[in-house]
Amino acid sequence: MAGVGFSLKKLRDDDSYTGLIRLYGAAGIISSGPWLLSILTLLFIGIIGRQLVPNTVALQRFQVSVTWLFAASLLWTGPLQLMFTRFIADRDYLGEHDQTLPNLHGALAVVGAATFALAVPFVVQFEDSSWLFKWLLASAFVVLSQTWMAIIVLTGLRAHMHVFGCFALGYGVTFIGCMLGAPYGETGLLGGFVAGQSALLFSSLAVLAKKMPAKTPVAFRFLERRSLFFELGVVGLLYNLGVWIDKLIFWWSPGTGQRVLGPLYASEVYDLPIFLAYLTIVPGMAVFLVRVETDFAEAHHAFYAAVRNGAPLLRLETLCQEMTDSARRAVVDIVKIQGITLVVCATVGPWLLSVAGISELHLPLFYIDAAGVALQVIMLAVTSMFFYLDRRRAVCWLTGMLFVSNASLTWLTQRMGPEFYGYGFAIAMAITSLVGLVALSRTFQHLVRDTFMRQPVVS
Amino acid sequence: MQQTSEIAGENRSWMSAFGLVLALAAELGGLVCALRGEQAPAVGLHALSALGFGLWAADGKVMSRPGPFIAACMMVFTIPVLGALGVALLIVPAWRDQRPAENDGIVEISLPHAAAVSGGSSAQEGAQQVRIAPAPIELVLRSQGAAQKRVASVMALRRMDAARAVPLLRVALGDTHEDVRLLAYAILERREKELRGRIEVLLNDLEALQAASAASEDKQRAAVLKALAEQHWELVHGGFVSGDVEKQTLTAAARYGHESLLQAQDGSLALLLGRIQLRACKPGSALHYLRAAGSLGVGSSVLAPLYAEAAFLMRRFDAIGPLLAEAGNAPLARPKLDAVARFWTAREDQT
Amino acid sequence: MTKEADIALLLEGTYPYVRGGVSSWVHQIITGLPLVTFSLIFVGGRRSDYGEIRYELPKNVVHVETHYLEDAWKQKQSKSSPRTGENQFRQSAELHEFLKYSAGGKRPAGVDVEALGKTADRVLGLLERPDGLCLNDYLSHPLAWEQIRKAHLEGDDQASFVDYFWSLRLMHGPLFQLARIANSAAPARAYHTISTGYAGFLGALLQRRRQRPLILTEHGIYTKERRIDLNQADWFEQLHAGREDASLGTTTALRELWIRFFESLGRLTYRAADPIISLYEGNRRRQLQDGAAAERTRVIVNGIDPKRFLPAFTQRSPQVPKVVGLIGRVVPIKDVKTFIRTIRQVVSVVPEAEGWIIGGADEDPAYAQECEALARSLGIADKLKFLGHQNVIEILPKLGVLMLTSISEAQPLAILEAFAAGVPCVATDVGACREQIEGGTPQDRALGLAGRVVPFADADALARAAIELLSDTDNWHACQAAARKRVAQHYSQETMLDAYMKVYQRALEV
Repeated sequence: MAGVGFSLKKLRDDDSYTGLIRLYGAAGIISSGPWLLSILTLLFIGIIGRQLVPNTVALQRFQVSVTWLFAASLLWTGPLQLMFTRFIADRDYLGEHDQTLPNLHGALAVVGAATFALAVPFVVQFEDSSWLFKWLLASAFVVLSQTWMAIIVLTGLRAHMHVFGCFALGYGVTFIGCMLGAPYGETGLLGGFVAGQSALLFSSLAVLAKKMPAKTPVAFRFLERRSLFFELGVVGLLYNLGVWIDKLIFWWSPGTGQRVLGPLYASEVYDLPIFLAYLTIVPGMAVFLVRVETDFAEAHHAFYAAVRNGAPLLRLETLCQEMTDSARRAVVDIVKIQGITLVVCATVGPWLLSVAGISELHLPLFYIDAAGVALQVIMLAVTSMFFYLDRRRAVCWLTGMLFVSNASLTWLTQRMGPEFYGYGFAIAMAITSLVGLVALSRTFQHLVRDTFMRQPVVS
Repeated sequence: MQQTSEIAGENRSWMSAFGLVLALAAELGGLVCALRGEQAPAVGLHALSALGFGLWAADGKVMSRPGPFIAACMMVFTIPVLGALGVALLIVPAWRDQRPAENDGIVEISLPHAAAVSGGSSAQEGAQQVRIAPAPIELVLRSQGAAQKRVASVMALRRMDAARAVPLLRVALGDTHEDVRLLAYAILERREKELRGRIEVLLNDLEALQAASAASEDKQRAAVLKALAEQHWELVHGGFVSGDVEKQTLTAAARYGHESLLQAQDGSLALLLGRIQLRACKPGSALHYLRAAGSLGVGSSVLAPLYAEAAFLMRRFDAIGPLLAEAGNAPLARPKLDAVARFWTAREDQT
Repeated sequence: MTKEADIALLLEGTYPYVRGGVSSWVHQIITGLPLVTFSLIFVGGRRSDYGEIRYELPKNVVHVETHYLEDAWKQKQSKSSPRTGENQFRQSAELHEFLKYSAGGKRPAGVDVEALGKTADRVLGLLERPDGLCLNDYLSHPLAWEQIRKAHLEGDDQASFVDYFWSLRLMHGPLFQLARIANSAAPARAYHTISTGYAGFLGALLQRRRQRPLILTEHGIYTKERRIDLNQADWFEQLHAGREDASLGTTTALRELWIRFFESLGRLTYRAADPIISLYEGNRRRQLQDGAAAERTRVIVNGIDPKRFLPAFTQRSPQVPKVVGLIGRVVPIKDVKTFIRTIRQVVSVVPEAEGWIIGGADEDPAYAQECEALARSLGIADKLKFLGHQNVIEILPKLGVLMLTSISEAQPLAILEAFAAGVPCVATDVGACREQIEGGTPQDRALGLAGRVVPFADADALARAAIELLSDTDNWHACQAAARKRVAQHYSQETMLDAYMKVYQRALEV
C-alpha cells in the first residue's frame, strides 16, 4: 500500500520551519485525532452531563460502562483485527482490490453475530439495570467491535482524513445524543453513545462503499484456512491483553477496585492518572506516523523492490543501511519527543490538575504512567517495524513477554504498596521495549542475508 | 457476474419489496412496544424487522445470497432503530450502487510495428530502445579478434527492430566463431517462430470470426486481416522466406490487406499494401494503393520515395528526381535514402 | 547385495530411456563386449521428461539405477553437522579458486594451482559426507552466504543479485544430489562416463571416493550443447519481461555464469578421467582447449558393422529414389525446420521429390508441432512425411539422399549407417561431418566425396546439393562408392570394439 498519502509526503519535503510544524501537526491529527476525539468527547460529556443527569451515580455507571466497552471490544476483536488486516494486505498485493469490501461485510456479519452471542450471557448479570440498558449495552459492544474492523480497513487504505471525519461525525452525534439522553440517567446516556457509534460505523461503511469496487456485497473468503495467519491472532490477543492487564488487575483487586455496575469494576486510584497519561502520547504518535509509517515504510519498500527488480548487492546493502538508519532515527526521535513531553508534564502538571479540579495525590502515579505510556509508543514502533519485516514469530514473543511482565510486575507492585503503583506497567514496557530494540537491531544486521537465505526452494 | 446485473437491474423481486414493508412495519411496532415498556413483543417485532431487512437486502433470494441476508439481519438486530436506519439508508443503497470491478475485457495484442508505417518508431517491441546505433554493430560483427564483443553485439540485436536486426543477424550467421553463429541462429529461429506463431493465432481468430457475421464483428475482422497482412509482410521483410515461397507470402499478404482495406479505410494499411506490391514488382497496383494512402492522410514526404520506386520499376526515370526532391527533408534516420536522393537529384541538376 | 559389475556406465539423459545416436552407440558397446559386465547409472533432469526403457537390455547388464536431478530439492535434506564451519568452507573456496585459475585466467603471484587442485579433490570427497558439506549447509549456513557475497562482488558486481543468487542455488542443488547418489551407487570396478557435465561430475566423485579409474568418452561437446540450450531458453526473456530496469548486462552475465559452470564441471571431469576419449581429432583439440591433459586424450572413432547393412544395400532398386531423408529425433538441435525449408526448395525443382523425417517426435512435442505447422504454411504437407522411429535397415534402401541439418553434431552414426547401406549424404558443416563426407586423413580423402558439406542453417545450399545429387546419377553413384569404401576402411566396428576392450582391460587391471 502506498505511503501516508501525498499530502503528508509533500509536507515532509518542505524543509522550512513552518513546514515542519505543519507536518507534525498533520501527523498528530492523523495518528491521534480519532482517539483523542473520543477521549475528549467523553470528558466533555462527563463535565457537562454532570449538570443534566438526575444523579451522579448514573454518570459514573455510564463512564465505567464505556471504559469496559472499549476494553472488551478491543480485547475481543484484537486477534481478528490483525488477521484481517493481513488478509486485506495480501489481497491488495495480489491486485484483488475488489475483495476488501465484501470480506469486510462478511467480517462484520460474523463479528456481529459472535459478539452479540457473547454479550447476552454477560449483560444478564446486570441485575439492577433496565432491560433497555442491557440491550443497549449489548448493542454498544457489537457496534464498537464492528467499528474497529471498519476503521482498520479505512486506516489500511490510508484514508486518514476520512477516518477523522467519521470520528468527528460519530462523536459529534455521541455528544448531542448524550446531552439529550442525560436526563434519563445511564440508559439515556448509553442510548446517545450507541447512536453516535452507529453513526461512526455507518458513515465509515458508506465511505468504504464509495471508494472501493466490489463484485458481490458480502464474501467470507477471509475465513479460509490458508488465508489466515494464526500467529497474528495470537499477537492481537497478547498485545491487547498486555496493554490492558494492569488496568484489569487494579480493577479486580479488592484493595484498589470497586464494583460499580453489574460485573463492572473501576479503580478510583488508578483510572484517572492513566487516562490522563494517555493524553500525553500525542507528540510521540505524530513522530511515529512520520518516522515509521512514512520514512521507514518508504525505505523498506525501496529495499524489497530493489531485491525483486534485480539490483546489485552493493545497492541492496546500501538500502538496507538506509532502512536501519531510518529505524534508528524513528526510535531516537520518539524518545526525544516523549522526553520533552515528560518534562513539560512535570512542569505544567500540578497546575493543570489543580485547574481541572483533580486531586494532587494522583500526581506521582500520573508521572510514572506517562513514562510507561511513552515506552508503549516505542514498543509500538518496534512491533510495527517487525511487522513490516514480516517477523511474526518475533512479535509473538514480544507481546507474550509484554503480557507476562505486565501482569506479574503489576501484581507484585500492588502487593508492595501504593508508592509502587504504576511501576509494574512502566517497567514491563521498559523491558519489552529494550528486548524488542535489541532483537530488531540484530535482525537488521543480518537482514540482507536472511532475505535471501531464508527463502524456501520450491521446485 | 449475474449478481451484479441483478443488483443493477430495476426489477427487484416482490419478495424483497415485501421484506422491506414488513421490516419497516415491524420496526415501528417494536419501537412503540419498547416505549410502552413491553419487552417481549418489542424484541419479537425487532427480530422480525431484522429478518425483513435481511430479505430486502438479499433481494429476496436468501438461499443463493446468504451473505447480504446475514449481514443486514445482524446489523439491524444488534442495533435498535439505528441499525435499521443505517442499513436502509446507507448500507443497502451502497451495495446496490457498487461499481463492478474493472472488466478485464479483451487484452490488446501488441503487434510488432510493421516497418511499413512511417515515422520509424519501433515502439511496439517494448519501450527499450537499444542505445547502440546499427552501423557500429555491423562494424563489430564484421571484425575479427576476440569473439566476446561479437557475442555481446549479437545479444544486443535481440532488442532491435526486425528491419535492422535481421540483416545483421544473417551476417553473424557466417561468423568464424561458433558461439556467435549459434547465438545468431537461435535469435533468428525465435523471431521466425514468433511470427509464425502469431500468424497461426490470427488465422484461428479469423476462422472464429468467419462463423459470426454481425456488423460489430466487421471491425474486428478488418483488424485481424490487417494484422495478418502485417505479419506476412514481416516474414518477407525479415528475409525468412525466399524464392517462390516469398512470392506466395506476398500474394497472401496482399490478399489479406486488400480484404481488410475494403472493410476499413486505413491509411497505414494502404501504405503497407503499396510496399507489398512494390516488393512483388507490381508497380501499377502499388501506385493505386499509394494514391489511396495519400487520400487517407499519409504525408507526401512519406509517399514520395515509394512513388519514386514505382517509377523506377516502370522505367520512368525522369520522374524519380522530382519525387525524391519532395522527400528531401527526411530525417537523419534514413541515411541510405538521402544518399539515393542525392544521386537522383544531382542527375536532375545535370540534365 | 548387488554384484560388483566390471564397468559402471554413467549416462546423462541418454541410454536406455532415450533413443538416439549416443544411445545406439552405448547399446553397441554393451552388446559388442559380452564378456564385460555393465551396470547402468542413469541421471535425468525431470521424471516427466522420460518414459520407459526403450532398449532391450543385454544379458551382461547386471544392474540399472535411475536418478532424477529434480529430486535435489524434493528429498528430505540431511541435517547439517554442528561441526561444519570455517574449515569446510575454506576448502570449498579453494575449489572455486582452482576452477577460476585453471581456466587460464590471470592469476596473482604465489598461487599454487596444483595445491588448489589437491584441495579441490578433497572437497569432492567432502560433499554429503559426515563432517563435510551438505545441501543444507549451502542453503542456510552464514559462511555460505559470505562466499556467495564475495563471489558476486568479485565478479560482475553490477548485475542483478537475486538472479545470481538463485542461479547459484539451482546449480549447486544437483551437485549435492549427485554426491548423495555417489554415496549409494552400486559398486563397480571402473567407471565410464559418456559425457562431462553432471554425469562427468558424478564420475569424478566416484573416482575420488572409491579410488577406481574413470574413463571418459565424449560424443558431442557438453558445454557447446548447453550453450545452444541457453540460447533458446525462454526463461531468459521472461526473466526480464516485467522488470523496469531489465538490463542486457544481467542476461549476458547470467549466460556467462551458466557457461562457466558447465565448463567447470568439464574441467573437474577431465582432471579425474584417464583416458579421455573423443570421436574425432577436431573434438580432441577442443578437449585440450577446455583443459584436458594431452597425454590422456585419444581418439576412437565410431564404427559400425558393414555386414549388418549389406541387405540394405542389396535391396536397393537401380534407380535413385527421389527421397531425401533426415534420420534423427525431431528436436531443435537437429534443425528440422531448415530441413523442411530445404525440401520446399527441392520440390520446386524436382516435383516428384519427397522429404522423410525418420525419428521420434515425442521428446519435444512443441517443436514437432511447429515443424508440422511450418510444413503446412510452406504448402508441402503432402510431400513431407513424419515417419517416427523406423528400422534403419528397412528404411535406408528407400532413401535417395540422407540429409543432416543439425546445428551441432559429434560423429553421427546415421551417416555411417547410410554410407554402409549405400546412401550418399548432404550434411551441415558441424562436428565430424566434414571428415566423414570428404575424408579425414589424406589416405581417406583419396577415396573421394561421399556427399556434400554445406554451411549450417543455409536451406538454399542444402537444396542445391540435394538437387544436384538426385539429378546427376553418375555423381550419385560415385558418392555411393566412396561412401561404402570409407565406412569399410575407416569406421569399422571391430576396430572400435577392440580399442575399447583394451581400454577396459587396462582400467580393470589397476
